[in-house]
Amino acid sequence: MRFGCLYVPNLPLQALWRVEPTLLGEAVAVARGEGARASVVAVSPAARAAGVRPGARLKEALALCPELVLRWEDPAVLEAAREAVLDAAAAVAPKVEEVRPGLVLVDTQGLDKLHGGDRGLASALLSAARKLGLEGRAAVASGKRVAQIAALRGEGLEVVPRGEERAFLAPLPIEALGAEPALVETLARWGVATAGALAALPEHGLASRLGPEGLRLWRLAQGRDDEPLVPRELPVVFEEGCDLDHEITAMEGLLFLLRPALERLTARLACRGFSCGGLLLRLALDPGGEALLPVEVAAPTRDVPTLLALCRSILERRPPDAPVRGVRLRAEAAGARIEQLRLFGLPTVSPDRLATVVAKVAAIVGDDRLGSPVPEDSHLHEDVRLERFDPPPAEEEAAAEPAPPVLALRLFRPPLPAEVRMASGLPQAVSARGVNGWVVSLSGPWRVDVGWHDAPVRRDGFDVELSDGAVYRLAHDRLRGQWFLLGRYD
Amino acid sequence: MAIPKADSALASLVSDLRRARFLVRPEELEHRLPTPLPTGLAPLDRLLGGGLPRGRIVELAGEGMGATALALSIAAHSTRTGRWVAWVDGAGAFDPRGAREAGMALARLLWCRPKDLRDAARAADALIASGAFPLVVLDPCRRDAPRALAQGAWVRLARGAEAHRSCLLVVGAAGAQGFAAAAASLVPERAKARFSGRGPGRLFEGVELRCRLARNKLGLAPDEVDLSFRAPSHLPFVESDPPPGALRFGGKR
Repeated sequence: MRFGCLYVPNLPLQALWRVEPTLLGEAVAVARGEGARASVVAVSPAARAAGVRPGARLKEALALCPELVLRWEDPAVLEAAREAVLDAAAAVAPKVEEVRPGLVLVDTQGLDKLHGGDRGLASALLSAARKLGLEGRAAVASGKRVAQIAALRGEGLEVVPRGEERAFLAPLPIEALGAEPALVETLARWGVATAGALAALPEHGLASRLGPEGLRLWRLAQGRDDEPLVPRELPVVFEEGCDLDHEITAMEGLLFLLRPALERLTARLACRGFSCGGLLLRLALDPGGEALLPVEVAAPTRDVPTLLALCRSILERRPPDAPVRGVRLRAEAAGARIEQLRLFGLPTVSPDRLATVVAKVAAIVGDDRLGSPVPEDSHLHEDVRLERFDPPPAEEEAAAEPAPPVLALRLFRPPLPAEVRMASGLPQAVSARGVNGWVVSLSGPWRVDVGWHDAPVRRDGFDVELSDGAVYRLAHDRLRGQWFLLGRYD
Repeated sequence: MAIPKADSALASLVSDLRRARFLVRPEELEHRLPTPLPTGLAPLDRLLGGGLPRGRIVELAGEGMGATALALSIAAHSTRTGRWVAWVDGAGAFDPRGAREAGMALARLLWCRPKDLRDAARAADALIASGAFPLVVLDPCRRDAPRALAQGAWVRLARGAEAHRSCLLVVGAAGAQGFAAAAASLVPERAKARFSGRGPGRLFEGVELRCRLARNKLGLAPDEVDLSFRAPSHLPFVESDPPPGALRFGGKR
């Protein structure tokens, strides 16, 4: 079986670069720990050139490189980068196994034609990682361990041809095979320093002298690596964000942070073929506590400006009541609706594009003010709910029987309270905000009596033509004894 | 002997002008000509030369009654023929129950309710730019509200409509700012409201409208048509109602 391996070296540093790309090229060190015990865990090439090494104490590192930029390791940022590596692998192959953070294996079975052979697959792994802001190394080989060794020791892209695993491993030192130090020492005493020398030893008696670990190592050195892949189910929750060194109070500052977080989030969603079906914005507040703001997305989308506009909308409606110290965005993955567009018929757009448009308009008008209207099972005009706009495909249909055109009733939302002068039990004159006139013609009353079990509505409806020339729908609320103008015919 | 020389010079000139796209054949411009979107109202289609011009803005101006009814009727016909329609309801006056009574397929209608005119224009722009809606209805807050839109907004809407072959139907007069952008102006004028019967049984039956094509850039002759609209029901159809003629509790017909 052939396996692909993607290795992202120096993951803590690359995780930092994803969040702060301006630090690329600078002398940067990622530190962990507290107080005097804090030490450097990852350094950039510029810092390494200045002599800073992982494991150094902070004072020591700053003494070696005074212009060193120090950042504390953020577990959430590191976790996001770890999952981004998995997403990059999942963009290329469906079966993914994580060996350790930053090192993943994929099963290449059946992917030859898709990616154009082993080299194409390795290059696809690198390209997917690059899209997520990660620089890595990739390798393809027959066997999990061989693929890992090739990726860890390779320069960028390594392909070990079928049947040449033993030749590939032969010049490598025993340590490269992942042997325990005690075993390496034993073999060194025997004069066995390379994988090739180990493979040349006879199998007979090896297990009794070196144990099962030695036998496993010998089989690996021989190029016999038949361990199966153990794929893991990848999570469908995507989270990105960062903690801040200083507090933010201004909306623009928050949006400035949210945009790159959304870009990273949508890039990861795109890798997995998902769209964003909803967002949860979590703001860490100063001095403590957090604000949770759910962001409704009218239709799944990956359009960053649209998602940013939705975030702005919720932040304007519910601004945080304290300065913000950290931002986290969690996306709810939603599958994009795939539909084959037709060659003939009405021009239409893909469901994904339609969803983006709907989300964009929702960002302008508010997510609760957009959708497909569905009248409730009631006789009241105001009983209408909005549903997500999910129309049947636009298809040329034969024009139905031409229906007689119906006059439109422009509703007043809310109904206009009116004063009505009565004569002989019927309205004679109507006065409301912006409406004044004598009743010229009248039709009614039409009684509506609904909702007796829940919210009773009892009213008499009239169609009245006033002296201003307009026709209105007038209603008398029999429960409250009030008059209302429900709408105007237009 | 000079004539063949002149012919060849003319042919060369024509060829040069064609190459530089200064001279084009009529059929090469066909895709830029407005194609009509049927309104479902035969007299109105005749007035507009086949229907609403695609890729153009049409305003339903006039102070009287009928602008919303016309827009509703056209939108209902579009949804009935399988098209998606967007209704930007800046006024918050749209009545979905009445729209269903007018024959609108509500599943194909995107109803959005912006809070002000600026948002309404932005939403209409985004909907037009999507290319998904052959008809976008912009019903602003007040009848005279479209006049408040800046000329830049109108130009943007007009360009979007032309680029994506959508028709923007504006309920209300676009005013001087929108004058340049709107391709046609329809002015519905009420002739009279029809009431029938006497006393308590008196019915509001509807209105007779006269719709005038006030001005246009489509090369159509100014004309007018008469249309008749019936009043919507006081008790609109609901899902649980039995079809006409059937008994509610499954009795014999």
